[in-house]
Amino acid sequence: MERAALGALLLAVLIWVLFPLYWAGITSLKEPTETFRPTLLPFVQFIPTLANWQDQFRLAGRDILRDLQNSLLVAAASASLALLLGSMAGYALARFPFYVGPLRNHDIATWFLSQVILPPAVVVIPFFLFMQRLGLLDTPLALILAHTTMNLPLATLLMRDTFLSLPVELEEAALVDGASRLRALVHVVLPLAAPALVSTGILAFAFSWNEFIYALTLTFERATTIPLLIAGAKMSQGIQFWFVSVRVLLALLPPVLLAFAVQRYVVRGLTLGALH
Amino acid sequence: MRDEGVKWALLLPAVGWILTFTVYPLVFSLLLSFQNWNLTSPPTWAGLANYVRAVQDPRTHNALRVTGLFVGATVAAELLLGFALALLFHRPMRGIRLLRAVVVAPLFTSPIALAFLGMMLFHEEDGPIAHLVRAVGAGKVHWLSDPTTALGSVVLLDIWQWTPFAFLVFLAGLAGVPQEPIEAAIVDGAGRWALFRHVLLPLLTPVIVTALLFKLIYSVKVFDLAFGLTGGGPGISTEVLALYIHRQGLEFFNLGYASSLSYIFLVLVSLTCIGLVLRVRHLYERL
Repeated sequence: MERAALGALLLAVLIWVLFPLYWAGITSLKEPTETFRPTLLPFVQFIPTLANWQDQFRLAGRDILRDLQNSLLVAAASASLALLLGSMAGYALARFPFYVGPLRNHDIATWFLSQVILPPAVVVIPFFLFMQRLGLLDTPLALILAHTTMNLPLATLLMRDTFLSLPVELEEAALVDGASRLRALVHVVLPLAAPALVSTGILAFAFSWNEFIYALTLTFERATTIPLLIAGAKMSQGIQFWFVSVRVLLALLPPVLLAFAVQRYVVRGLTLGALH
Repeated sequence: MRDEGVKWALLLPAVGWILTFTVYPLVFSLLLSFQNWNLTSPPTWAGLANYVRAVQDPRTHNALRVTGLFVGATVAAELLLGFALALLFHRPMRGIRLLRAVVVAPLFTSPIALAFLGMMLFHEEDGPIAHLVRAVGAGKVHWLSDPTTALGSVVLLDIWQWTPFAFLVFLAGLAGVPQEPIEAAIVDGAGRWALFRHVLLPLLTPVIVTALLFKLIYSVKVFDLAFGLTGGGPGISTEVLALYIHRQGLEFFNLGYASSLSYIFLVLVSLTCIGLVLRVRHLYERL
């Protein structure tokens, strides 16, 4: 009896989670007039069509491709930069003792952690003014700088956590054998940390892909990303379900698909390494 | 001795990056908050005028109230729901792996895209929710056009997106609970409630505080959902603080005033979070 109730609850939770995504999916496959009706089953209740997808790419193909390209560039570059700087700092914090006045390693780690408190809305105005002065407004570089800053605490703390969990003995063996610190890092430690590096990189990529407020503020025409393509879908004559659903799916799918690859890492990522 | 140079060379780029792109803008913003500047004419010194204005601005009060309601409702609902679900599903059963895989999806959903998806779901004539409400014979619900329900709709989207976070955190927490104290309590004849209240809950406190801290931080920053779903409306009924600051700064170009609002926001958020950060910092204290 209890098992049956739990099974029903499990089903209810699955429907609750999946329904909005399913609705976006079927809406994108409906004829415009059909999108106003509560039909759920393609082939049974309505005839699916790819016309909305084709129309979107025919009418706005250049905008979509440009935004996809920008999103890809910004997310890949900012994730790589955050990963590079974050692994270096994370390794330093995991392997060497730091004394800065009264501060120790965990105080420095807490300082990195405290950066996540900062709401982007607070720094976005000075960011806008700097980028304006540097002539970087509406360039991918402006967003790469912003998103790297956003992801750097994440990368530092997750990589520190990873290096702490690797046995010191392997590096020590390499050092005794006469390898330099950097050689030991590159040839011994990094291969062991590879799964964590990939997972952290994927998280940073997804967070950058989804980021909206910096993109809204720093880009407007040439360097716009996918979230701005969505925000531009607001129509004066009301919301056009068949168009909006296509754009929503373009934004949703890449990070959601990547998420399945890093499931085990999600809790660690969202708590910056505090919980596994 | 060689290591002394290496360790600083490894740490300082990241520290320098954050100082350049976070601390420097914050200092700049602080100076700006004591000036009046609208980009067209040169900035003028304003002293504390922007802060006085902020304290008296009814729209600031509204933004604080809306943000407070949003944070309170989302944090409470998501933590309670996530905890309840974790307690229920913390057992070997078929489908649990599928559930864990599926609930990750909302967390990776772009919030601005979710807001536009929400416009479709909450559409008052032709959305699936409106169809469902009509099918059960209830009247029309003004999900987005009524000032009192609009905030509820934004909260619902956030609950959809973030309950999985609390669920996964608590599931991991429950998996890490040591069995001995629980078995000992059972041997001592503790009832289910006593077991929960006096054994399980204390063991889970660090996990609960961590989930609370991070969800609080993520909730307070809310911008995309309100911007996309309701645009802060109807009226200013869903205008959260981040949205109001963004409007003052980058729509009305009251850069000084927006900076003073930013600082008030930052101080409020920091004061709320620092106590919690200090409670979880031991989790980072492995060296």
